[in-house]
Amino acid sequence: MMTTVLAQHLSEFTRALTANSPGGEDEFVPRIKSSSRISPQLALEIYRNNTRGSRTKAMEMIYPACKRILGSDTFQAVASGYVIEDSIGAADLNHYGETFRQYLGALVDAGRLADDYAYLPDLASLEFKFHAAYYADPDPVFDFERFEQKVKNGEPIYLQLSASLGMLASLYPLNQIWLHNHPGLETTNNKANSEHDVEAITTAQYLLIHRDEYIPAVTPVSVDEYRLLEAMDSNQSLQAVLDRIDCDINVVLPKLIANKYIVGIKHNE
Amino acid sequence: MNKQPTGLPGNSVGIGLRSVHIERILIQQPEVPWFEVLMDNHTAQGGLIPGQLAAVREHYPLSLHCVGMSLGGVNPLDMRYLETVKRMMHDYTPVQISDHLCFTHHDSHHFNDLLPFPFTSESLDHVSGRIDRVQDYLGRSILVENVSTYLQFESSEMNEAEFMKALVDRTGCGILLDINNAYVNQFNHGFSAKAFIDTIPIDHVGEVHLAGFEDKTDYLIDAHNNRVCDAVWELFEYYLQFGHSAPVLIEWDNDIPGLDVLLDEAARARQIILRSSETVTRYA
Repeated sequence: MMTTVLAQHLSEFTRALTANSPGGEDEFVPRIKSSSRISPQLALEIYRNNTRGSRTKAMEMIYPACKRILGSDTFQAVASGYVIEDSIGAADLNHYGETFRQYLGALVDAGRLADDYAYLPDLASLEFKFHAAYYADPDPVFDFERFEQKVKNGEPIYLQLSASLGMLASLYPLNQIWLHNHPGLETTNNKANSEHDVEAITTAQYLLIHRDEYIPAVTPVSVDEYRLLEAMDSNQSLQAVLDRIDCDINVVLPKLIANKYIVGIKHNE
Repeated sequence: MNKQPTGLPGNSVGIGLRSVHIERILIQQPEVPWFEVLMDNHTAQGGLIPGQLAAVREHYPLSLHCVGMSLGGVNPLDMRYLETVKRMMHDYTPVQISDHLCFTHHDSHHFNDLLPFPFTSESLDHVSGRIDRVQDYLGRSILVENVSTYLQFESSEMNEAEFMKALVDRTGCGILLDINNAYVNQFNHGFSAKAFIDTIPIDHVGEVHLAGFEDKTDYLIDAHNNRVCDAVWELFEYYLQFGHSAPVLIEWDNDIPGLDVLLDEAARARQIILRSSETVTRYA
């Protein structure tokens, strides 16, 4: 970073825009010409609003189901709170707001969002993964010859998951909530049994979020399939995974490859 | 670096490509001479976006408009961002590439907004160096756009037009003249938008932007959410009297209307260009 007058001005400008405490603007305000019809304080407020507006708009795009459930006004208020607390932002707004899940969880824990919304952090997590899947890089085509060669040679095999694959285990009926509330998926007769009635379920729901060609989809899977993919995601070899998870690999593995959740063999093992 | 021809038909009126319009554009292929792509919204390499963009590119020339180079910033140039620009240059062969005279991030903070900086000789050296490095890396010249501002710096030693003129002299970059931004600044800060147009090196204008603003009564916000206002159309006519023929863009980013509205604005721009060219020819 340069230590020049320009750098100093930009640092002061930055502090004036990001300080959440009184006095944060004091060093920068004298740098602003007073001849404009916009006061220095208003100018800074306009820039703050622009930044926050862009981020809030990005969150509306990423979290449409959360918005629908909370209602537009409440979502705006919650998203604004998140945006104000986050002074760092993101260079690419297509990937903004990944920690919204934790923020919502903290609101529920603090009683600032009703317990009825306890499932909302999980739903936010699903929505972010869905959005990320939309923007994910393309996958390679599975190289069966290389796979067979490695099996034949008895080499450890580290399988590569699709770049778009997201995994989520939830104790709420998340898939149903998603289907009821995601734009374009909702049906007329199943609107959310009012989401306030949502209760935890006795066994976890295991979901995969994945984009095959163009549009991502959310798919419930068995616990075995989920655990298998989870272990592969944590960089365990196929052999190590099979030692830990009891499943019929001859059935499960071809299915996961056919569904393009597994897309190749890692080169960095 | 040599000035590059824009490759777009002179005085042609393009439209900003927005995702809500893409399906209709691909089906109906409206008579639009070119589209401008907001690069930062189209960086994905998988899924729907690259396929759509490639399909649009098959039928139309594209111009690539960036918001993340942070030419006025002091953080090191974001080489990952520039790599993306270069990749998109390769994938979509845009006829021109542009960004703004502003900074967009500082230290670890990202503002997702176009922030002004003081126009000093120090800034001029600094920004010229960055534009040189960007152009060297991309292997072509870029257009630099004037921005709307809500504050000015006491320490500025020159105005934005003089600063841009010096940038062109030093780096060979072109200018993206945003007439709406010049008007917003005139309203907000009280200086003359015509004087701005008079000062910039008009022959180096490679593209013109026309857009709408949000009127807050006491000041204007460059919201790109409205039709072009009459005062900006008048300024556009003023610019045209110089007889220059840079391609023109109708820019609309928020509260995006149907494609017909944008086509209507483009038609109005074309009418003004036609009228103006007849006038210029008559008095030439």
